[in-house]
Amino acid sequence: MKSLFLSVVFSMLLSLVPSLPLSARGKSSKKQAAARREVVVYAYDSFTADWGPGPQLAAMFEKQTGIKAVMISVGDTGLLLSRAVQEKKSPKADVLVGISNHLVEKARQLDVLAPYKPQGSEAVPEPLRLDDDWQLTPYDWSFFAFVYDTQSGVPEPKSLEDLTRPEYRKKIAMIDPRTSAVGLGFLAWTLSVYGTGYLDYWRALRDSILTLAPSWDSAYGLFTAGEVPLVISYTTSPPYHVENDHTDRYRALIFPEGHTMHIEGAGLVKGAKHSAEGKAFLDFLITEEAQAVLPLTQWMYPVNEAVKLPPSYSAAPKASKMLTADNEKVNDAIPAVLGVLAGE
Amino acid sequence: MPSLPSWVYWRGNEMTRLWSIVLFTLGEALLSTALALVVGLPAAFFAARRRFALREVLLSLSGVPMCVPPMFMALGFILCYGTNGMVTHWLSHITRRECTFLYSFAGIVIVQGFYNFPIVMRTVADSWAHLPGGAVDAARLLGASERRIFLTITLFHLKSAILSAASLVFLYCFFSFIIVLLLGSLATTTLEVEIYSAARSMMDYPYAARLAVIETLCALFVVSLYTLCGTLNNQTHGFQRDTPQKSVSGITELACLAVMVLFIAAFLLAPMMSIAANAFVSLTPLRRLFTRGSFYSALVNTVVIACCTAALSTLLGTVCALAARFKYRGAALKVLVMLPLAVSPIVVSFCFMCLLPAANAAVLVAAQTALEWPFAYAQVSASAESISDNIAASAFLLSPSPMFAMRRALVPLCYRGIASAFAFTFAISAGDAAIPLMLAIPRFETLSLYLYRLSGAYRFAESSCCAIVLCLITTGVFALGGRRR
Repeated sequence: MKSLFLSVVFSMLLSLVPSLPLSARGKSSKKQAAARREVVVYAYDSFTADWGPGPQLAAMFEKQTGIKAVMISVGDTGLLLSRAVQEKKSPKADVLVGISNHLVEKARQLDVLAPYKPQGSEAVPEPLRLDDDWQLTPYDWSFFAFVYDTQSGVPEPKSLEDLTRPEYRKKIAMIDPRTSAVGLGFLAWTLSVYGTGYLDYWRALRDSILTLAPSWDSAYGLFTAGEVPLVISYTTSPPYHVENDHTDRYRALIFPEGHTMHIEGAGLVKGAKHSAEGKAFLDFLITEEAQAVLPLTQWMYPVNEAVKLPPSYSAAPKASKMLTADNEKVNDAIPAVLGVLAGE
Repeated sequence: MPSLPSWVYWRGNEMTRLWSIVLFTLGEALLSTALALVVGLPAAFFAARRRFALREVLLSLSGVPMCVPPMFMALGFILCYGTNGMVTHWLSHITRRECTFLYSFAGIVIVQGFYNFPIVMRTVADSWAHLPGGAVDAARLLGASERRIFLTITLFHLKSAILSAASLVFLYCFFSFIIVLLLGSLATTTLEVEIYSAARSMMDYPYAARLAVIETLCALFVVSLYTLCGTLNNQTHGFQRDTPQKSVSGITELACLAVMVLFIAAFLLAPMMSIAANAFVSLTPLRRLFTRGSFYSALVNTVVIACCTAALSTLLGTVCALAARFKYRGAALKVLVMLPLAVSPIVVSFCFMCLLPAANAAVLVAAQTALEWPFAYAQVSASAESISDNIAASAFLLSPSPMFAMRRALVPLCYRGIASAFAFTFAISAGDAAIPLMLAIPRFETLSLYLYRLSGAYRFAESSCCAIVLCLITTGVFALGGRRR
């Protein structure tokens, strides 16, 4: 009994060891937080990673304002809003980063954001503004597009309609709109182009789809592994490969039907503890200095048009025709599209 | 009479749709489990009873399915057997037609079956190495054929281990998400996918709650069935010994071993090698990964957290397994133990997010232990159930106290199960990205979370390198745990 008791105690002490430095840091950081100003930013994974813009932006922001930006990754955009809803009565975050244009209405319904028009907002072009009352401040954007492998041996499609042709049978990695914002974005794109006839397009496209991947990374992983020559992504995906892999093998395709946009925004949390600091962070996020970090970390266009893009962005074509998406109809369209894909 | 809360009530045609989803989910889970048993049982026999060149390698791979993220396992299969896979190209060249089994129901069953067979192999091998020698010797002496001995003694003795392993594999397959979506037919839906879609995309929490209840009841029903079957006629007899291993002999055994090794090489090793080959096209991704400071802190965090979780889970699992074997013999405790496994990981993650607002490493260890200790229980239970009543009775009779008997006689007999329990829970903890993601601990990463974040930022090769590192760590732990005393 004694040895069993000792074993249990030992295991418990052992399990507490990793938390001791964090606890100590937690206690000391509470005292330090009381002395220095800080803003808590909830963002998605790739934003806060050390290869993302988060660490650079946090360092620049602190140097400029003396306010420490604490970046916390909460998963993806869906989890971001879920967490904000869970903490609504006692918000821990001051700013939410990564709410896309497809989730603007959802965020509004959930009532987790406070309107704030940042200083320098005139630098944000009109087509990129997400709402009139500035509950969300846009910070980057891109066009949805198919990325094509020029070394695949498959002919390059010239339009959305081309993708339904027999030579593209099982050649597309599509993304599930139930589980991914990019998949939802493509659905919105087809709604914008085809209107009420969107299901006929999906019916024609069905044979061209190899798989409905659960996430962008799994679909893009299939694409770069050579399993499919076409994947739904962004026009700004090829610059990554030019910059890091030193290849122009992958090309974003511009279609005459037009392209919808993926715009990401950041918002001030309603009832935030550090409201003033949150506003300062939003002001900073659209400055030229902060926006210059985004092209080579987010692989999206900065909203501030004064920012000079790196040379690799010559591989990112601009859409000739810009479409707007009816985000209210998109979620309702999901079951219908899945029914078509399932052969109903 | 008090009325039920509104979220309980089903809307419109939800029930009709639900039936087809439930049947599909149960079907793919049961068939995948059957395949894992078909492959795992012969593998367990050779691992437990025969000496051959690749035996240690085979046992060391037991933890790979637990720590390799499903997305990478799926990618490995795609690289080999996808429409442009290496093996597919070769087969298509020979047969002059498109040959792939992926992207179909069969694809889901095959991938899940081979992904999870090491659980069956490891769990059953531990029991098979401790057959009741007296009963076998007596049966041979009385003229029973090997086939009759196998059906009446060996299978009876292994029943508990087989059912424990089958329960675990079933639950893994039942809650499978990425493999089902990526490698199934278009618009495949399982209960887990529906819950995910309802909770995260539509934020329809009442519908997600209804689905979660149905999912848990289904999982619990099957697990209870396995557990009840396992407790029927559960007495063991005879002297327990470490069954000596013989070399592979005879044409039949050689042929079976060759076929087994071929299948494992084709459907487990080849996909893993493909991931490695994809990662190491050049050394650049490896160099980039190893020059990131964040990689090393993630590595240290992973090993520390996994060790703590494994230690706690193994301790809890051992205590419960011994209690279930020697004190509380009914099925109720066994079903209760499996309860955490019967709850959707997505639901558990959301609960943690709601209930644990301030998370740190200790909370992560506690959360992972709460979910993983049933795995440890299953491993130790497989060894504990194979201890005969005679041995147990002798130990208790001759010892000054029950705890003395436990510590000096019975726990050492469960060494294999305890070592497997530690290795399995270490692997599961190391490979878990869901709970760390949900807890959102500031400035804290594990390798599984790290590789998930890399793959979301175009850095697939680096992500694959990270997955290989995870495999190597876990394989090392299994190799240490599999060494004979």
